[in-house]
Amino acid sequence: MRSAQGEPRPLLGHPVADPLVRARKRAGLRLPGSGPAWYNVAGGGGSVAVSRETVEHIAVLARLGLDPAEAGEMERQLGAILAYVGKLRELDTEGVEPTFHVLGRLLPSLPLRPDEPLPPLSPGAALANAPASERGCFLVPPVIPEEAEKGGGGG
Amino acid sequence: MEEGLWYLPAYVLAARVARREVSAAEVAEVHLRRLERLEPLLQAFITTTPEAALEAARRVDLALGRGDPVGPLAGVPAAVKDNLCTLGVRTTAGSRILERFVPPYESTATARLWRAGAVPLGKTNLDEFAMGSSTENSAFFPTRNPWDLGRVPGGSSGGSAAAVAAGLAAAALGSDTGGSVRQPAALCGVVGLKPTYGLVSRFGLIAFASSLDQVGVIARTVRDAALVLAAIAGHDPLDSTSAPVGPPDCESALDGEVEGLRLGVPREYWLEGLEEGVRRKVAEAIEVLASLGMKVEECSLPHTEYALPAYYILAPAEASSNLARYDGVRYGHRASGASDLNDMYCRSRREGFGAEVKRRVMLGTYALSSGYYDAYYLKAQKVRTLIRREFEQAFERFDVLATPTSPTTAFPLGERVADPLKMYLSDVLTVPVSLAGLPAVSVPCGLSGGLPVGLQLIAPPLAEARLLRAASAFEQATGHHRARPALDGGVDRR
Amino acid sequence: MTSEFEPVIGLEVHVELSTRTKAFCGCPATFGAPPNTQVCPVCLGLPGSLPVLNLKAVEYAIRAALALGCQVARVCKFDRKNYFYPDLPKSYQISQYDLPLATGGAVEFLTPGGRKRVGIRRLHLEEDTGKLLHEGVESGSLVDFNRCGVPLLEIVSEPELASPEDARLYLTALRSLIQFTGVSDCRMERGSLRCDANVSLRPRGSREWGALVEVKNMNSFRSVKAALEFEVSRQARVLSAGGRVARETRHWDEARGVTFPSRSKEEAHDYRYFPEPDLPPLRIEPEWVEEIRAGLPELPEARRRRLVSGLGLPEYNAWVLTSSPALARLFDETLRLYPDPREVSNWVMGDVLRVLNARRLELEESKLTAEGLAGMLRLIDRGLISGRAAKALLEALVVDGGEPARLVEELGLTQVSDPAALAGVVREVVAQNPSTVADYLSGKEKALTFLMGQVMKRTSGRANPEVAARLLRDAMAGEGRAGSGAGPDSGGEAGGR
Repeated sequence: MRSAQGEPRPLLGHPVADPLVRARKRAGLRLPGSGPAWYNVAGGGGSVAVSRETVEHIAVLARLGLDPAEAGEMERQLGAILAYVGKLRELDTEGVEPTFHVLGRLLPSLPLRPDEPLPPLSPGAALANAPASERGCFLVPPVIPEEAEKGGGGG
Repeated sequence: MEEGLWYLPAYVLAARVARREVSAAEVAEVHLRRLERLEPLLQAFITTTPEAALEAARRVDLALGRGDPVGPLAGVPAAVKDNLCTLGVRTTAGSRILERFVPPYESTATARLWRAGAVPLGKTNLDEFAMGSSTENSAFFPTRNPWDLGRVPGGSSGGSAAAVAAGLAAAALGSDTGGSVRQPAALCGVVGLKPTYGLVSRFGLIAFASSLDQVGVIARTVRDAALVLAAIAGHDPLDSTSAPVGPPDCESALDGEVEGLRLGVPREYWLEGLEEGVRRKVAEAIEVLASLGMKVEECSLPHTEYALPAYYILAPAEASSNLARYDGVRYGHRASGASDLNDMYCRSRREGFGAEVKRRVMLGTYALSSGYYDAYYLKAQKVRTLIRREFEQAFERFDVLATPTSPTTAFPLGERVADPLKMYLSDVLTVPVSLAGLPAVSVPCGLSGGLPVGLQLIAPPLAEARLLRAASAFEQATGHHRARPALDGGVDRR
Repeated sequence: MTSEFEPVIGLEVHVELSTRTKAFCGCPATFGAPPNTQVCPVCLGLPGSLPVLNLKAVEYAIRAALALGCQVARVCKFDRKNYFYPDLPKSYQISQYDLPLATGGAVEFLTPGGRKRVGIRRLHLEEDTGKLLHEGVESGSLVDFNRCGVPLLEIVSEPELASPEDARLYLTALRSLIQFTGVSDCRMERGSLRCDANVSLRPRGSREWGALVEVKNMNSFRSVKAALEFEVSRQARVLSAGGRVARETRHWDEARGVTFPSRSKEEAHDYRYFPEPDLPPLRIEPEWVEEIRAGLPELPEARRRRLVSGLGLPEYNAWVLTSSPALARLFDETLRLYPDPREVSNWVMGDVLRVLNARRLELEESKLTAEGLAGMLRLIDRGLISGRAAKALLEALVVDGGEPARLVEELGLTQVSDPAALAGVVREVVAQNPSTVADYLSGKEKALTFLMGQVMKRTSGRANPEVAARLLRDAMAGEGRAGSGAGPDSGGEAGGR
C-alpha cells in the first residue's frame, strides 16, 4: 500500500532502524533528536498554596456552590495547576503588548452595524426554554431581602 | 454496494449524487443504517436526526429531478458537534445544564453547511463545553475510538472524529479551541482542519474561550476538508471577529505544486515525552514531504513550552465569563427547591456543571479576580504576543511548519481522567497554534501499534490554500488516509 | 448643611440613547412594549450568540461627547463587567473599562453665586440591563428583557460638586446639553436618564477626604437633591459623633426620605473586568469625529449668548430658557409670532413652567404650541381677556390645546369691562368684607388687592381689572361717607387667596 511517485516507500510496519537518521540522510535533513524535557516534568511539579478561604471566595464569585469535599479537592487541584502555569513568571514580558485579539491586521477596527431593526423572537420562542415564566416574563426566586431595592434591609 | 458508499470521500459522494448515479436518499439511508448499527459501540452522537436527514436528502433529489442547481455538498451526510446551535434541534454542549435546550436559531456555520446541500445526521458528542481532550468529560457518555473501543477518540470533538473515522458521516464540523479538532482527528486517523481565527463565523458556536474558539472540519480526505471549509468560511456580519474575507478557494489550489515550499520543523515540538511510534511516523512524514520537493529545515520556536501554561490561564478565564450565563434564569437547568435567588444560582450550576467545567471556571475566576489579573491573565496575554511573534518570524523563512499533532496515540479510557494536568498535556502540541490564531491541519501519517498518528501542518493566517495543498500532496503521496479501523470485521455483518 | 464639614459629590449619569435598535443586536429599542417581545438570542444571552455594535450608538456617543467638550479617543475598547443578577442575561455587562470612548470635557451651570464649571472625567458606551418587577408576584420576581441591550452612555463627573443643589444644577445642565444634541430624551421618570452619586465629606480646611459612599436609586431631580442632602447630613452626624463613615453603597428610599445600605457584605464587589474577546478595539477616525462635530445643532451656550446679547435678556432668563430644547424652541417660535422677548420670556419662565410643574408634564407631552401662546398674548393686548383669565386659558392650552380665541369663548373667559355688569359683584364684595373695607379706608392701599381678588373669583377672572378697581374705590368711598362699624373678621390677610 501507499506508494507514491514511482519509488516504493515502506512506511507502515516497516522495520526502520532510526527514521530520524534515515530522514536526515535521505533529504539532507537535520531533525531534532530528543527535545526539551519539560513535557514529562511538568506534570510532576509542585503546588502553589491556595487557601481554603480563597477557594471559597472564588466559588462564591462564580456561584458554583461547592461542598466542603469539593472545595478541598479544588484547593489541591488549583494549587497544582497554578504551580504549572506559574512557569510564565520565568519570562520577562516587560514592555510587551498583550494580544487580546489575535486578528490584528486582519481586522483593523471593530465592524459596526447599521441601526436597522431586525425582527425579534416571537414571545413563545423567547420563553420556550425558560425554567419558569409568568405573564410573559421570566420568573426567578425572590432576591435575598438585602438586595431588593424596596426591601427593609436598611432599618 | 453499501460498503462502497460509506467510506467514499465526500467530494466523490457529492459528484455521484449530482450526476444522479445514486440518490441522496439512498446515501442517507445507508449512512443512517450504519449509524444505527455502530452507534451502540461508538456512542458518537448525543442526538440523531434521521427524519431531518431523509427530508434534506429528498429535497436534494427533488431539486436534481427538476434540474435545479444544488450545492457543492448536495447529499453529503454530515454530523455537527453538539456545541453548534441548530434551530429546533436540541443542543447540549455535552452538559447537563443544557440537556433540554432547544435553540431558536441556527449557527452560521451549520446554516451554510445545510445550504451547501449537506444532509444533517445529528449532533455529536463532546467534552462538556468542549473542555477536554478525550470526550470523557461529556455529561452523557464517553465516545469510543473506532480503532480500539477501549480507547478514547480524543477530544473535545471526539464524537465528530469517531463518526467520520467509522464511516457514519462523510464529514463533520467540530470546534477547536486548543486542539479540539486536530487532536481527535489525529487519534481517529482522519483529517482535522482548524482554520485561521476569524475565517469561519463563531455565531451560534457555544462559546468556550472566545478569543481561541474556531469552527473546524473533520473529514476523511484533505479535499473533503477543503470543500466543507469553502462552504462554511467567509465573512459573517453576525460575528464581530469575522475576518473581512470571502471563502478561500482551496479546492482548486489543492492540485498545485508543492515543490520548493519551505517547510520548517520546530525542534521544540519533538518532546522527550513524545511516544516513540509518533516520533517515527512523523519523522517519516517529514521525509515524504522532503521527497516531494519541499525544502525542509529545522527551526526553533523557543517560547513553545510557555504556550500551554498561557492557554490554561486564558481559556479558563474567558470560559469563566462565557459560562456565567448558565444561571437557570432564561434556559437550561434550574435546581428545584431553592430558597432564594443566590441559592438557585449556586445549586443550578453545581448540579448542571461537571467537575472539569467547575475546575476551569474556578481557575478562570481566580485568574481574573482582583489582585491576580496582572500576574495571571495579563501576563498570559503578553506571553501570547511572544508566541505569535515567534510564529510570524518563522513564517518569514518558511511557508509551512510541520509537527506531530499529539504526543501520543489514542490512550485508554480512564487513563487521564484522575489527573487534570496530565489531560491538559494532551494539548501541548496544538495549543501554540491556537494562541497565535493560525490555520493548521492534522493529516493521518500512518499507524503505530495499530493506532493512527497525526502530522500537524501549520501555515500563516489565511494561507489555508497553501496549507491544504501541502496536506493534500502528502495524502496523495502516502495514502495513509485510506487506512480503516477494523470495525467492520466482527460487528458489521448481520 | 453643617459648616463643620464640606461635602464633595461626583455624579455618574446613565443616559439611554435614542437609537432605533439596541446596542449589540437589531431588536427595536422602543419603550413600553409588552414584556419580552423585543428580544432575540443576542440580548437574551442565548448560548452562541455574539454582539455586533450599532453604528448609530457610537455616533450618538461621539455627538454627546463633543457637546460636553470631551476628547474623543482614537481607539477605545469594550470590556466585560462580570456579576450575577437576573436582569443581566450574560452575567456580564459589555461596558468600557480602561479605554473609554471619550475623556475630559466639562459642564457649566448657573448658581446664585455665579457660573460654575464641573469637569467630566469620562464618557463611555455600555448596554442596559433588563427590568425586574417585584410587584404582585408571591413566588419571586418577574424579568422583562425588552430594555436589555439598549445603548447607554455613562457620563462620570469629576468629584467637584460642592453641594446637593450644585448636583441638581449640574444634572439639569447636563440633561439640557444631551437633549440639545438629540441623542436622548433624558426622561428620568422613564429611566432614560439615571443618576448615581458618590458622596464624601471632610472637615473644613482638611485635605483628607472621608470614605466614599455611593448613593443609588434616585429617580427624579428632586430626589437627587433630597437624597444627597440626607446623605451629607447623615455623614456629618456620623463624623461629628466621632464615628467613621463606612465605604458602601446605599439606596435612596423615596417614601421614607432616607438612604439605607444595600447589598449584603457576603460578596465584595469584584467585577473581574477583562477585554471583551467578542469585540475587537474600535478605531475612531478623526474625520468621522469632525463630520459629527460639523453636524452638531446650536448648543445651549451659543443660544444663551444670543438671548443675552441679541435680545437683551438677563443671564438667568437665558439659562432657564435653554434648560431644555423644547422650552428653547417654544420661546423662539413664540417670539417669531409675538416679537416681545421680555414678555414671552416672562410667560414661558413663569406661568408656562408653573402649569407644567403642577401637572407634572414635560413640555413635549403638553398640547401647548407657540401659536397658542402667542395668540393668548395678543388677546391680552387687545383687552379681550384679563391676566387672570389668561392663566386659566394657559391651563387649557397646555392640557387640551386648541385655538385661543375659541377656547376663550368656550370657557367663558371673555373680559367683562361693562361697569353695569360688574356693579352687582362689587357691591356684594364690599358688603361682605367690612373689616377689609375699613382697612382700606384707614389708608391701607393693599387691602384693595384682596378685594380685587374677591371680584375676580366671583367673575371667574373675567372682570376687567381697571374697571373693577375703579368701581371698588368708588363703592368704598361711598361706604366711608355712609359710615360703618367694625365688621367680623375678613378671614385672611389682605392679598391672600
